[in-house]
Amino acid sequence: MKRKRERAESGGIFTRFLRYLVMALILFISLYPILWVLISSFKKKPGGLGLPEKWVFDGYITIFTELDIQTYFFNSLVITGVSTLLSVAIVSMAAYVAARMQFKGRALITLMFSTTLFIPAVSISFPIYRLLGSLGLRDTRIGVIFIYSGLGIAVTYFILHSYFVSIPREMEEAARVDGCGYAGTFFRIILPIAKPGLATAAIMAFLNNWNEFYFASILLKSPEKMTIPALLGQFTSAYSRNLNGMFSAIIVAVAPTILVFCLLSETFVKSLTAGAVKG
Amino acid sequence: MRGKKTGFHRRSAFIILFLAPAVLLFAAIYAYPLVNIIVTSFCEWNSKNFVAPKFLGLEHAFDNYIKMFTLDRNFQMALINSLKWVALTMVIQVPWSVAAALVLSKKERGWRFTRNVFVIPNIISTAAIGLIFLNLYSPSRGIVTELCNLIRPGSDVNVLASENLAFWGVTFAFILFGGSSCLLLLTQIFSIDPAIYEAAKVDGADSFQIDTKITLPLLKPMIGTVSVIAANYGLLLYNEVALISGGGPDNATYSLSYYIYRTALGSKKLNFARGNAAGVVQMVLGILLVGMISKIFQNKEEA
Repeated sequence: MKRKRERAESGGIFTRFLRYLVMALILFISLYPILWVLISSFKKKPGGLGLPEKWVFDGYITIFTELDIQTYFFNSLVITGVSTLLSVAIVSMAAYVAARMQFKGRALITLMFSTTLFIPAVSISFPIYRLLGSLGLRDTRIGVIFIYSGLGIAVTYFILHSYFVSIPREMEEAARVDGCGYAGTFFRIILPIAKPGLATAAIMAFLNNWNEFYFASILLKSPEKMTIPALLGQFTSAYSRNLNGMFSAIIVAVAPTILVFCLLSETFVKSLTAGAVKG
Repeated sequence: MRGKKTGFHRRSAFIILFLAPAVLLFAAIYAYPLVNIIVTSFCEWNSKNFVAPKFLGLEHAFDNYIKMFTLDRNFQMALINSLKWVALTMVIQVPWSVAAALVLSKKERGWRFTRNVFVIPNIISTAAIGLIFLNLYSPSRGIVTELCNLIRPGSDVNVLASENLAFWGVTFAFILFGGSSCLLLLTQIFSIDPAIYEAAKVDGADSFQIDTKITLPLLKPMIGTVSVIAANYGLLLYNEVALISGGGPDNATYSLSYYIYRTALGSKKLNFARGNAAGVVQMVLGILLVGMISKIFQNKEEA
């Protein structure tokens, strides 16, 4: 009926009461802000304490009909999806070579990815902004995809590198004997085996890119190209016009993440802890 | 002989081909910008001298840095705030995450649900979190003003309009969200050999003693990792500042990241070189912090 408990509960009544108190505090801190926005979004005049006197759905109707939030979801999905695929593909190739082949400068590759951990994105954002300007990619989805493919390559690299190292060498040797080339071995033998590692890396990259705000807000100026976080950033300057719309937009913006997390919580938990195990 | 040679070439070609995209991406997004900010931080490059950075000779090479530290009130405020946020993550967020992990590790009813809920604020967009807190603090529709009026009628607290309170307003929009840190710690706790706990129980240790004498010492390396992540977040804070306070009132809630943004990109009086110099300072601080924190947790582990 229940999952097996590895360690039985212990401690007196007071200790256990304290534990439940802390757990209640965690739940309150984590849920209250979101629930407050959810409840407020149904109020005629959003905000304040208490429940709505009359439940209003105007906000949700306007964000789908007037604000066209679908457009922003579509942008977010395309930008996040493509950049995640690109970065996992590019990094997996490099990580495989660095994990499996002997060559001069091998340590340099790992060092290169490690240094990116020490370069804050904001500190280098001005040259990046100028670079995209000279490439004609400012205020384009391609420009943002380009940036997102590179941000966070270190985490992707370490997850994939440790996964490739853990694959037995016999796999490749067998493939080589069967006449598979280097690239063939990688694409046909290694990648299918490495699927769990790839999934972990992709989930992390997707989550980060989906939520990325800074570059989205400085690069994307035309509303029809904005991602969801960039759209939310717009509300701080123009928020007083449609409060119901803003509260509903917040809910609609976070709902997919929470929903997917509820469905795949164990996968998420594994992914979120995978990056730091090595580092 | 020939076959061996072509084999060698094919191998090299494969290695180069597979590394090239990653190296190019690194060069474009990290290496070039990094070199760029370092070089231009020694030049003059601002709204008067818009087109290209100009090196004014060795005697003026450090002008940006000197002016930032001695004259630029926004930078000084940003530096102090960012360091305060680093300290606060260490004093509030890390201990809170550790306490939460210790409690959840006891697997009381509902621990898994609580753990998952704790992670939610860390996986939804900080832009959304920022907007939520902006509204919570609003005197007209938020709840903070209303709650303060219940305690002290007529106080009409406006968090974001007060220089002191605005700093704490931004702080509490992220400082208690330690879900991912808690997750890492919890994973580490569960990997501790259960036999150690059995032995302690046989010796009559209560759960508080087990936590402080066994779990915490074994957890130290992971607390170090979590501290590095949290301190880094505090040092690089941007989204919360940009969305909740906009650095204000005046410059009371400037962070280093927000200063860089305002100085290089987002204001009328731009000074690209100085923004880049602040970027260099931010990066150096980050490296120093990681070094210091790792050292602290390494030494204690050995002792």
